[in-house]
Amino acid sequence: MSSNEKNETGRDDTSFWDDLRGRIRTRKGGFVISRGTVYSLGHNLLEELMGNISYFQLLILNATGRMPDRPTADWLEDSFFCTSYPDARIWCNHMGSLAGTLKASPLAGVCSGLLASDSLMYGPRSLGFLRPVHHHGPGKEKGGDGCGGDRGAFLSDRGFSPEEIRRMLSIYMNAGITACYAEAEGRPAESFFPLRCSDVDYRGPSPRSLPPDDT
Amino acid sequence: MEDNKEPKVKHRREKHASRMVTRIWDETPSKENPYLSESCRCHGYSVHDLMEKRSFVDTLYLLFLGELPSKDQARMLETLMIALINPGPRHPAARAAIYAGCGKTDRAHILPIALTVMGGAHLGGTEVADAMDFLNRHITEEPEAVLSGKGNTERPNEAGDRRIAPGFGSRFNGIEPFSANIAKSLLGLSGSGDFLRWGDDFAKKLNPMGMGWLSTGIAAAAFLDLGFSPPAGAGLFQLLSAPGLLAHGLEYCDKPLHAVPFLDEEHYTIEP
Repeated sequence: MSSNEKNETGRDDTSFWDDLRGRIRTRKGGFVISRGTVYSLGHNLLEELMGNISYFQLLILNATGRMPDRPTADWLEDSFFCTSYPDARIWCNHMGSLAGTLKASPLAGVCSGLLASDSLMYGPRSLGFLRPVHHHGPGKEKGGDGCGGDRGAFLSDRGFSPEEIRRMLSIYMNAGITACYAEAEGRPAESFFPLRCSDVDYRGPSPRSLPPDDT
Repeated sequence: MEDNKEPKVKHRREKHASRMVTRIWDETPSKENPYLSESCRCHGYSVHDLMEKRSFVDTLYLLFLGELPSKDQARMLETLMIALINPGPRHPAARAAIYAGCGKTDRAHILPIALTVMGGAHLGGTEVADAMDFLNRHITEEPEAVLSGKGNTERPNEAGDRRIAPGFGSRFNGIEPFSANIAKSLLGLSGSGDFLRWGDDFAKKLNPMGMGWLSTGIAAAAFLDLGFSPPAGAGLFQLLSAPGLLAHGLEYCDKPLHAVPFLDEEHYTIEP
């Protein structure tokens, strides 16, 4: 019976959700409390992986379900340097600074910046159009900008799907945002790029009175 | 609200609840599908009845405090909501929304980004919650005595604004006239109470020192007069500021990147 049919009592068939109700099924792993062991995609996280693989190998494993070789993970980690400019003028870093100047928490500053980096113009979302180009030879994807395009093309050539690439790159602006947050938070509150009223160019309606209340 | 105390964990092997519990929202399941609700009640009142017969403000008050407000309380909440509806385009949280819009960030993220910034301990939600704690602690004392207890109130030799207490201080080294006027309007309503009056006395005593009400202090006092408790302060402040933050962000969604300033090298100084 398909999920949009009624059962013999005339009620909706909810068997798909009933089977999931009250349980979580995962292929990713988790904490087996009775054994005191944590599994990540079949591997013992703390006894097998910790100290033997890099954090970026773990990141790619969790994002894709496949353990990458160390050179691929190291390449990804190095590529994160390209998007770690501690420049508060860059939009996502700007969020970190704004959060810092209002004395929000470090996590709030970083999260607001990372969310901002989910942009059509830059960030992982902008790489979603990439497809493997290995049949044309490895290298740059047309339209990609600098590190972003090269990174997306490199990962695509290695068989990662656009969705997997987006997952792996979701925190790639973390370091630059953190730097900008830390600096703003360490300075007096609201001292980051302060604006006078005249620094905003108002172009809306001229001052006017409210119309009579006809209720 | 009753029964809002955190349950004390007696030991690590305490059994978890088998179901979530709520007093806020009751869903009557559909006869055809137990995952779909046929009707909903908010603290016992039918949502459809509320839709037809009561206002948004009434329902908001009910949602958080469990009972419908009196006319005075509704008027007070509505006035406060308008007062807090937008911190203005220069507020860092609004600027976060603007840059997110202009930077072509996923539009679903604009509001969460701005609200995350708006949660800060300076002119943000955390300061509101702290101010509510401050007012709660001192409401039975004379404002003068509380000020005396602050010790040396001379301006310290450091840059930036002063905070004599959460919700009270200077902004850009001055007293916020807009906030002072909002406080005056709220104090003129029948729904205003002891916390706004105490806060106003305290703020007036700060004026000779170049300090006074801040928006966060006014929000804190008004929330307390309406019956909200300090843990609600941060989220409520974010909630009520949300419309303006989103409006500013959306205004920039279709603008080009150069619609916001980008400092040139002359104005971006990398210091040693």
